[in-house]
Amino acid sequence: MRISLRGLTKRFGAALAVDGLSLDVRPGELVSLVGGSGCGKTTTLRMIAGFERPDAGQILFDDRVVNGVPPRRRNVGIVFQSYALFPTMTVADNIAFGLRVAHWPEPKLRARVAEMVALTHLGGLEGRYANQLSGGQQQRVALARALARRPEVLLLDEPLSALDAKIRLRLRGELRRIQQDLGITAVYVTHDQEEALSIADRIAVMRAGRIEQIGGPEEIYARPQTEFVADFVGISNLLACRVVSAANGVVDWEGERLRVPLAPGADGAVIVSIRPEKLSVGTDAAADRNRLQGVLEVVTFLGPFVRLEVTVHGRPFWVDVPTERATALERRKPLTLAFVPADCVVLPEGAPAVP
Amino acid sequence: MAPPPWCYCTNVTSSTRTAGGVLVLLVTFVLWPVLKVLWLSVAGAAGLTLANYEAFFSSSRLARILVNSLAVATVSTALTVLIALVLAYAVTRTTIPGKRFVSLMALLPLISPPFLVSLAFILLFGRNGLVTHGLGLDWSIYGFTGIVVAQIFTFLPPAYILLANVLGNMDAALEEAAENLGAGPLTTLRRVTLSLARPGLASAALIVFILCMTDFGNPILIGGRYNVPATEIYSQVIGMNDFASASTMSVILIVPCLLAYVLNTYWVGSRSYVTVTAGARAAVRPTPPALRWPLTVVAAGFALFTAVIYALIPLGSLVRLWGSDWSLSLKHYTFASTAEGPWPIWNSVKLAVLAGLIGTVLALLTAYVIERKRPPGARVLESLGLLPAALPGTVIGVGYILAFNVPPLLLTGTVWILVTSVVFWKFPVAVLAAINALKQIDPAVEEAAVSLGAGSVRTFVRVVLPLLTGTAFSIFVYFFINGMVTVSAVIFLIFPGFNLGSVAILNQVENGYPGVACALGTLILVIVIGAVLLLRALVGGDRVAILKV
Ligand SMILES: Nc1ncnc2c1ncn2[C@@H]1O[C@H](COP(=O)(O)OP(=O)(O)OP(=O)(O)O)[C@@H](O)[C@H]1O
Ligand SMILES: [Mg+2]
Repeated sequence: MRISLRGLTKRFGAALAVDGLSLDVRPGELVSLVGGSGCGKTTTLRMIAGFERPDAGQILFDDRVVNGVPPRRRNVGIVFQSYALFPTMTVADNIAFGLRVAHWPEPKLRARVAEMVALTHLGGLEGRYANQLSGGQQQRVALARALARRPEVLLLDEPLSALDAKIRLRLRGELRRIQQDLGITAVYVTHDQEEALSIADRIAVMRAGRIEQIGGPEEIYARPQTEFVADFVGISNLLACRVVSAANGVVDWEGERLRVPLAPGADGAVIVSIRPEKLSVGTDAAADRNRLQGVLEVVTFLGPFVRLEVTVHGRPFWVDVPTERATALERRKPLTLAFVPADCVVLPEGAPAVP
Repeated sequence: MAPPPWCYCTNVTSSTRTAGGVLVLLVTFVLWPVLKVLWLSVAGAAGLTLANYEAFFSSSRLARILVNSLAVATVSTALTVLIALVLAYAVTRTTIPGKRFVSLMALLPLISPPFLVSLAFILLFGRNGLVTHGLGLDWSIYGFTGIVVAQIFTFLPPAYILLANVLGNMDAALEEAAENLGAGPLTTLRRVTLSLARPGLASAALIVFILCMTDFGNPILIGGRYNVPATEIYSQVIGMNDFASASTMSVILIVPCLLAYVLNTYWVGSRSYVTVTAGARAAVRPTPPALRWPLTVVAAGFALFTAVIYALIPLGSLVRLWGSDWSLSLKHYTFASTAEGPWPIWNSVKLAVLAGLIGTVLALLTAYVIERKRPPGARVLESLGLLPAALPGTVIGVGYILAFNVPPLLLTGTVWILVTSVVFWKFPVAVLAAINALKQIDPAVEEAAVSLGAGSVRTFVRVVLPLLTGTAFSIFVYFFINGMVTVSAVIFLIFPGFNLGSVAILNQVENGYPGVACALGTLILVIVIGAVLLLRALVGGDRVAILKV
């Protein structure tokens, strides 16, 4: 089923939680809403589920406007951040709840519960209560319960945020597999951009109740369109520059001339974004590189690579280099950073990013 | 977790001495009176005998009294818990208007003498009642109905607080999850909300049951000829000086109360559901009008009626002769009908302040010993400290007479028997509050003080006590209020020249001066509310809480 949001707006008192948001989620697609705390992700999700009524705009399931449809008639599965498992019921009864409410005949109901238990690898835990389960198991019960009624839409609100990093990795793969196997349309809220990049077909980066940019993971990562997106998704070195020559693609940063891919006619102030892994250390001879002289301050070991903090003109730069290349580096020593112009992304100067 | 070594090496003597002192106090003022009552009920001329119990159960009158109280307590409990549930649900899980007012009215009885409600109902539905007399009805509220109605309003607060806590802490996502899975409002209410509240409901029912069983003030005022054990014990002691029968009845009354207490502590207590988890939301979505308006009417109706009941007390104190002469006057405040004048009120204040000071110190000390020092036998201390929660005030009264009218502890006829009875009868709530407050304080804070060289006493006084000031004030207020309003235990223990305000109210009603009773009730209410407000103004409002039962 396709979900279309058209100019959705929601106010709480004077506060604008969602501000004219439009979004299309294609059938079978998983779209992730990411953004900082309070940017309206949960509110958007709750409007799709029917828990909040939009003040303006429309919600369509396929071509049907569902604004006035109460939550229990929307046939939307939802996984809550707190899981909201019924503590008075066993795992099996939790999963069967929606089926009982819909008066499924007992044999059919039991078969469906068994199917969900198998799908979410909960075998043997059917008789347990929520407080006898690990966090990861609770999360899977919540998913099984949401999917039992064969909803056409699955909504997930930070479903993994309460779990350890390791389990989070495993479960997000599992979530993705189940979503793709069932071909269910899904909206996945998270504030973890890395999670969004890894799980979603498309990512909608939200800010202050609006979608700042939407696109596939590679697109969002490699071609952010605003300073906020560049800063929020992954790590970027953002340089506030001034255009010197649009024709030659030259900008000025702190007195340094840098060559970057400028649009014809660019003028005034721009932001140049460069990812840490696109910066290299050393003095190889290639002539087309930009070069900056800096001082190495901190080296952080991150497994396959190390992250360097290099100060250039008083401003810290993040630089990722393979671990084996970092052994020769010494703290407090000057070094040269180099990068290819084509690896830079030039962004219009925008409002400063909200934390 | 094992206590850190310094517990043993540096403070053995002082902490064992404190624990020993607390133990002696609890044995003397909790266990000893109860044992005296138990002993007297089985002591015969020639050793142990069950003759008193045989006499009790072979007397159809006495057996009926027991059945009476069971019937009253059952009906009162059921209705109280039902109303508390509706109000708690309306306040915590819906968006009705006027929640604060409803909550305030539900809690008002916490700070008033327990039988003022009866007095108000007598003003409304008694023989000269506003309604009964006004409509010329040949009916009055005295008896079963009166007791039940009065008990509902009197014992609502503990049930309300408990259920409001349970429902208020519920993750709103639970109800939303049910709705999302297709459940209608009724299914959600029944299978999710109420199902979660079940342990809370059981607990509330057991607590209210004990309170109703042991209630003395309401039955004696509005019970008419409908006797219950608490009032029967009183007439046996005061009317016939028959301590053996009173003791027997006391033991029989203790049994169901203790049973309810044990059930609540050990069975229901282990069953409550902790539902608040990371990411849980408390916010409630707008309630649909079909539910919102009926609930508003019920909740507001209840709150307004409570307000009327409490307004009747000052009103009754200003009306010249209730039922016949409605002109206003201040003559009841001259207390001409009583030889004591308003002095019982000041005796109550004296008792309340003494009980407040002594009770607060003892409760904090006991909690500290139990929770932090954990001497061998800490469980015994705790059980003794909490035991009075299951004891009827009348039993405390009888037990204190039996235990303290002979040397070495001859306390009868002094203010100290009143003070100790209030302190130790009301000990459980105070100790629990102090223990809970201590649990909030990271033991590492004390360990840090000790590691920096502070001794045990200095640690308690300089580090722990300052963190407990809010709790200490709350406990003081709790004892103070109870000193002002309690009646069932102290009515046995007052002595000539030292009547109490709460007892004087009873005397005045019995002697046919409801106006004077209302004047006394008004003064007590004013003093209690004034003291609470004053203390809040002095030490900061949110630090002084009204402790729940
Ligand atoms: N029931 C409510 N009443 C009042 N304000 C609300 C309510 N729900 C949300 N808001 C406000 O609306 C804004 C958006 O909230 P929302 O929960 O959608 O943010 P979010 O993106 O999910 O944030 P987070 O990552 O912290 O969960 C916030 O400013 C929040 O304070
Ligand atoms: Mg959220």
